[in-house]
Amino acid sequence: MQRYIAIRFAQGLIALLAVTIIVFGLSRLTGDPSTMILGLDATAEDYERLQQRLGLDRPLVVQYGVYMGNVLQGDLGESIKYPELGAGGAVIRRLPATLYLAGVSLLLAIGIGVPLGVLSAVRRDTPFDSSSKVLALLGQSVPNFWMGLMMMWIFAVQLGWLPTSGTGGIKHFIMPAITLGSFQIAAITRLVRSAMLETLDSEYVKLARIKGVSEWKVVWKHCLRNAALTPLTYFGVIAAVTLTGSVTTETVFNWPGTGLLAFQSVLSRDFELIQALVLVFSGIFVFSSFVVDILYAYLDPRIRYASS
Amino acid sequence: MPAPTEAPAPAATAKITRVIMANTVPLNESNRIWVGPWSNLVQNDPYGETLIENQEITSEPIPALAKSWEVDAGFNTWTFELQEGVPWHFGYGEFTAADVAHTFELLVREDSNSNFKAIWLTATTEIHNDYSISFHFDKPQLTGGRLFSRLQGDLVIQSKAQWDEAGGDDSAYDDRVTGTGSYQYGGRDLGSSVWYEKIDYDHWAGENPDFQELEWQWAAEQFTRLSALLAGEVQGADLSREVQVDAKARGMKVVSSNNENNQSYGFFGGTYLSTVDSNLEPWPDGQSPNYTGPEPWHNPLVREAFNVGVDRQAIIEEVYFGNASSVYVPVYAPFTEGWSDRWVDEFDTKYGYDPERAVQLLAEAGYGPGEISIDMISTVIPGNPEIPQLIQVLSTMWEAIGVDTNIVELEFGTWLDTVRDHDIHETFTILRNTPIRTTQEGLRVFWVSPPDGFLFGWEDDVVNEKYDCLERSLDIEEREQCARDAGDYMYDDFLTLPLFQTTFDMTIDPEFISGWVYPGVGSAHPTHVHNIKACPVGTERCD
Repeated sequence: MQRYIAIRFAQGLIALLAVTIIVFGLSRLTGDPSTMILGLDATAEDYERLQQRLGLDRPLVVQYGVYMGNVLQGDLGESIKYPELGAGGAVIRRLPATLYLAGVSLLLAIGIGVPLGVLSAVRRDTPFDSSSKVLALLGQSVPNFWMGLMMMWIFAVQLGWLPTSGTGGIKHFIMPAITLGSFQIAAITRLVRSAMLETLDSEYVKLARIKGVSEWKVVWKHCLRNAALTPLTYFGVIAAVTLTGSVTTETVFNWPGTGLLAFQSVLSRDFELIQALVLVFSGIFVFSSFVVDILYAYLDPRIRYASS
Repeated sequence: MPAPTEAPAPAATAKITRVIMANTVPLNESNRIWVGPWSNLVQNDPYGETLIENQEITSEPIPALAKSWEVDAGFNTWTFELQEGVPWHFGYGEFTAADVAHTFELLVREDSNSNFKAIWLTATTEIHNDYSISFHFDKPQLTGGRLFSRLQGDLVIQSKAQWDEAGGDDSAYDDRVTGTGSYQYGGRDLGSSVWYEKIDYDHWAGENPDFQELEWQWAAEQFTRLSALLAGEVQGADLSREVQVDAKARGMKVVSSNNENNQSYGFFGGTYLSTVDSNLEPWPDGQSPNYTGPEPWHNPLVREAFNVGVDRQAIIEEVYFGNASSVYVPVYAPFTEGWSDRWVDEFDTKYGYDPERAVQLLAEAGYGPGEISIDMISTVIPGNPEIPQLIQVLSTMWEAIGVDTNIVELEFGTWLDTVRDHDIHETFTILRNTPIRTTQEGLRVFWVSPPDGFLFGWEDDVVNEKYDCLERSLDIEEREQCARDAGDYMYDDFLTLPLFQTTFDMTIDPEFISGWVYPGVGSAHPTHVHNIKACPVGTERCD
């Protein structure tokens, strides 16, 4: 088991290193932040001066080396957008808003997706099953920005029930959380349904029923416990995608989290902030995958024995 | 010198305490005026003030923190006599010349991104006494009226006392920056908003805002801003003309700047035709290093064809919903040096829509249908959301006269890099000029070869020579003639595609706001926030 964990950890570190190289390269490919910082009135001298100050006149390899050196010392760089906070400080300041939103949307996804998946499997080929399948299809195919805009128009502008955007209270969470969680609700519903169908068909379930175990216990205790392994594997991905995929939702609802920060930093070509955000997002992704891998190995001995 | 503005009427009783405006997100969110470009001053405008103000109707320079000023005969030294008894917010003492010199020092810091850093770096300050200060420039500085005002100026005066209290640390202004305006800084919610509170004593110039608090709320998405306005969460929003139509249909009102402040025009890319740089030094190889060979629109007939192939009136009606006027010569306006009424009088004849003539002109130039192929850059420039739509309409109109067009979508920064890299050969691109610069500055920014020019929309010897005249001449008549000559040349030779001139607009909710008078001197933001007038209690709407 320890060897398995060590291997997974090393793989995570390599993935993070690769991410830094890719993000560093790609952000440079998008162009030069000097043009955004300086107005149209800037002169060539202004431009050169800024290039020197930002270190953009140095070879890319040197820039990357300086960047990695700073990262290893915990310095994620300066931020054009938030000069007072720096890149790391800006991410830390905005992360809680995203964590709250992602947390609520994950709760929604689990709270709605799991029961819907279970009931859909139990009531296979009934109108309820068909409805939940349609719902899941919609959840996975409707773009969340569109869903967000439509909800905003109906529930905030037309009906006036909810605030359009921003943060403030529980009401502010409702539309962004549903928008962000819609894809995950659909994904969990489908995963749970298919895992439950397989489990409901297994021999031990038939035996339990023959032995007179109540249907409620068969479904919610014996079947769900076994069927949960598949969604659990996927849960790590869902958690990470929810956190990192909040860019559109946060932008539409003006939610001041890291997703909106990412959008704004791309527009202002705030290289170091973009790098810090992607590094943090990647770290979250790698970490949640790591946790799920360990959990999975813990729950399924075949995996840990095979790897050791 | 114009007289100071009259003392305002007493504040009306507003229905709400805090008026909230939904705006686009600034490049950075900071109280440090030296870190961002001048367009970021939307954050500093409510509490900060400049030496020279712009009159709310005409935009003419009028006294502000400087009660008067004078310029020496050579335009090298600008001397300001300052207002006395102007208090800093939060008890930071009285405004003096030391604050002006201190602000100047902030703008010339190594890490300053001041809009006019290159100009500031050629200056020094000299304090005569607490209420008198001079700026000495290496070169004649005719644009001082703009440098020291809100009209592109970023010399928003900062307190030396607050700076010194923080031991000269960069964070001195971060928490609670002081100012001299009729609003004082309230606070900032990073990523969301910044707000201000009305001062609880008489403003030194008599400004008396109707609202106790003002908030700029940042929202990147236009639909979000529109929804917030219609839902009554904000009382004003920065919306494009297209969306203003929806807002107006739902009872909102548009308040425009008193002056058109945004010109757009198209450049026929790759027209790097100069043989000398802008300092009239010959290029080593006798041609601009950016010249890569003849292009169709190096021929004036082709440029004329492209111009008469555009139905400007239809675009004004369909794209701008009637809220735009024509630009005649880019950079020029009736209040800039060198303006000529002839351009207006002859515009319909020379530039009027005539697709048949366009086809004929192309044929005369030797180009049949489909023989000219161009890329058209579609990008969104902040403050000019109509550009992608304009590009589409122009493409359709030019296809109709036999030009092959290919629309290329580019993000703003990438587009700007491309222009500055001189990589717009056989590419049509739209630039904007806001607020409308002086003729000399406009020529430098958009037309002149290096080393003075940097954007390089068009370069040739005639424009360089006329710009050089403006650079060296202090004779008003000579300057007027040089500026006129440059304008005539651009106009008669169809050097560009003059497009449209617009105001800056804010969409407001007339249930809470009755009006807002501002001149249009900001870049993609309104100024004069003390003029936001409340729709008073007891009045249902103020349409």
